[in-house]
Amino acid sequence: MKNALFIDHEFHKKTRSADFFVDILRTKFSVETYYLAPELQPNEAVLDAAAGADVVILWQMDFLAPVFLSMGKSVIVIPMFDGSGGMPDIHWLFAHKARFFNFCLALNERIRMTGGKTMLLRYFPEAVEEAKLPRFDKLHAFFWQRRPDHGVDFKLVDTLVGDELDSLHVHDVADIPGNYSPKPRADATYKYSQSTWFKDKADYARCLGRANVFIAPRVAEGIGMALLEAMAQGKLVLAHDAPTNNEYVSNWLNGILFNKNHPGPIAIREQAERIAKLGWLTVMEGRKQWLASHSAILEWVEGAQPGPLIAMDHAAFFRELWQSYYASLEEYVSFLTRKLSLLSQLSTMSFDKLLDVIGEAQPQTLAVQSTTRDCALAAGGLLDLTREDDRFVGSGWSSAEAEWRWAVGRRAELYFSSDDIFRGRVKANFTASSLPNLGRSVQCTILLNGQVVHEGKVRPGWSDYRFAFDAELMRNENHLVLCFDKATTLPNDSRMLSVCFKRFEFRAE
Amino acid sequence: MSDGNGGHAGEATSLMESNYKNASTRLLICDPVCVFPYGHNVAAMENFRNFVGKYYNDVVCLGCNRLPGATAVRYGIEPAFEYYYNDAMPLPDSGADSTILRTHEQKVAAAKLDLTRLLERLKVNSADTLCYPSADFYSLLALVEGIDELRTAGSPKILIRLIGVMETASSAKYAKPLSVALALVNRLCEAGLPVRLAAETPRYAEYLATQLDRHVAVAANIELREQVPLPQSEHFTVICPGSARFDKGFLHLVDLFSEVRRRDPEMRIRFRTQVLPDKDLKHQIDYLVRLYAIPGVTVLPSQLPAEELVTMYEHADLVLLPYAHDVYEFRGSAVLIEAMLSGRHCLALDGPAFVDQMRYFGAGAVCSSIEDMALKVIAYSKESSARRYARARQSRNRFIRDLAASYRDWVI
Repeated sequence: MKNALFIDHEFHKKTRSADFFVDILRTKFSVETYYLAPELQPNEAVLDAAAGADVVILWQMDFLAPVFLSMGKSVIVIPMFDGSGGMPDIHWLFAHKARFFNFCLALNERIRMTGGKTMLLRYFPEAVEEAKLPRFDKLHAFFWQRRPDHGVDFKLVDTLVGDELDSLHVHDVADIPGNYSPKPRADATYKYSQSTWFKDKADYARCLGRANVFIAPRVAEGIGMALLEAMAQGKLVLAHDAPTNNEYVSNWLNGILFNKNHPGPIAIREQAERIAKLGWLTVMEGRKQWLASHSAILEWVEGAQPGPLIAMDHAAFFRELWQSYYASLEEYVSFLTRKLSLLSQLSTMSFDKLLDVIGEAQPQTLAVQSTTRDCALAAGGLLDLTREDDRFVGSGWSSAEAEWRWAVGRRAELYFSSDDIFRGRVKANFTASSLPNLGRSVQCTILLNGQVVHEGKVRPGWSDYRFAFDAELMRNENHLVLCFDKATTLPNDSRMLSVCFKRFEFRAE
Repeated sequence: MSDGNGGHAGEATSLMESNYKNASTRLLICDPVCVFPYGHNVAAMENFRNFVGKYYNDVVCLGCNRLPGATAVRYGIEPAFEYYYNDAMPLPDSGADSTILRTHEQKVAAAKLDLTRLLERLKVNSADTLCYPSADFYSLLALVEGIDELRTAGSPKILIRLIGVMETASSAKYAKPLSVALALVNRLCEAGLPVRLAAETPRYAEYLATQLDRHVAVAANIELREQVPLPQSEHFTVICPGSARFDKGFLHLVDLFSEVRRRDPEMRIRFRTQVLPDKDLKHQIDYLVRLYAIPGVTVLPSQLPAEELVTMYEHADLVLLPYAHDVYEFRGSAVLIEAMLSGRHCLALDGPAFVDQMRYFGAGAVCSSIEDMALKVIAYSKESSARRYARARQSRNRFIRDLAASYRDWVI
């Protein structure tokens, strides 16, 4: 059995919200779970734990992928929308050689479109039997006020459905400190109740079980376990319109989506039962598909390829990465940008391509050389380099002199097109002279549209040189590259000179 | 290869057998847009080889020289054309490729050169037929530019099939590219070359015949696949095959699927649809999320291997074509033909030219609106599979016979 190291956020040690996934992994892997606490200093012992693992699986801690990839490990990344939905491209590029699971379609597409290899998953819990579905002759709502600071609070719930409810229970235990105590209206028509703690999970479940309306407590979710559990129990669910809420809830079909920024009363009484029933059916059907996907999940993990083992101080990199990530997004991106050379080793992308991503390169609609150039050969297939205009001339040339033009440096480029259609073989000749100071000859290689068509020596003094090539090589616009093995300056001329040319001519053989 | 119900895949081709064939005829199928390993062009080349090639002793398939080598070898397609349409349908990673033809003038010259080389290399003569299964703008231009060369080659027969797509792809050079394309066809005919015209749909054929004052045959998409049994499932599966596009009604799907779901809360009806290509999808993620959230909807990638597309029909009960009536005013639908041959009925919004064929062959129902389409999905889902199968078989058989006759009209 292969060893898998499952790295998770310390917070989930308590909520056990990743257990459902770890249980699947345990059917094929020997899984060691390692929790990391963001508020603490980076725990380098996790690197020792990873050393013995065949595959490292990062639950939410996606930013750590490059650490384990650079250790030569196979890495699986499971990011969550609520934590990583807004991360920039460079974040995902550092995990380019990892494999991803995504429980969120929007994030899945984001990562896929940056070149990541990702599998979209949709989790569904076990649904209750149909006989146990709640009745809807009265509406009893449950709301856990977890993140009132994000705008999903008692006041919002009261505005949305206060006039529809027969009762509302608020579990007033926020994830953050502060005084957000609900203040029920005096004229509220529903019965209000409140809790601030439960003795145990069963107490919580009993309180939740009395409700048939559930308001999702957070603006966005990674998976949305609480919402899905409520759907599975046949409750009518209401949630803010953002991933992953809106990936499980189709508005007014199997739940209701609202906009927390523009709240208004929602008449739910007439349709509550119908919508809740379809929500429950959604989970029933989804559960079958979720169970059927387990073998594909295991195959995806097994198919992950090791990252490139890079000789570096992994512990130092881990520390710096950790600190920059938890300092701020700006600092994190700045840190990653400084590590582009590492990124070029960690991804399959060329350095130029990485620059395009970092700099958000804009699409270039036209290749200038092939759109603006008027480079038709003159009569007789003549390419005259003594012309003052530079219609044929690309890089690597001097200005035209009275009877010639110097190639400057070791490479010069020409462009030409022809109105004539060549067939069979094309005969070409050129008139040139090498710089006497370069010795008896200069080696000259000529490429036409990327193919070598001539290799030979050019000697001092004007001479004609010939070569021939297959007409199939000719295109509508042609690119001629001249390469020389040497070039030099003169005492009174700082240009690097090699060979000077008068003309090229192209004719059908 | 009989399906046991009167349909016969070989029937269409056997009907094509004729005394036309003689010892020296050769068919050159020319498609410069045969460049992607996926999509319809490679399949169409194969179908033309089998279906129209029956008339000839020898068939040569000529595609774009950018068609991936493995695909070209697998399907026996010779590289013969530069790619003239990168602005309309870009090749992957072609943005920085300076050898791609970009200007109208470059394309005209390249197309002429390609034709000239083709005539010479293959020693085209009067016994040959040049066949353009979906004629494109620059090939038409090249044919006109090459009238002298064609005459010199003995005036080979030229089969031109217009499908309302690539014959107008003129790199935005013309505001009225169809007028130019028709003028080119006229010029070819007036030059005395033996040109035979066809259009994909009856409506387009009628339009062209009027505009050109010439006979235009109807040559629908060739399909030779077998009718497959309807799926035996507790669900009724509705599909939207082919790469979903805006002009194929992608932005109707949420309303359509939602409306059906409201009327089918037990989720007996299931939907499977492909989504937009990435270049469009990245701007429509919110819409994609809405589509994905609808219970009973399976979202598939924008490109699927041909084998999976075949499987998609096998597992389907009904095919949806909510296409834009303006874009498809004259166009046919490959999906309609594939569905008909597979033995699946279609629902289409009224307006497109292929709807005439759907009506004529009884291949489905025409819908006045998305709401109407939703109602008809429900109605179809309540029909017995035996009845649906029998109706689909009748459509299919009629279509096959018509296809053979119409191609005979064009080719001979």
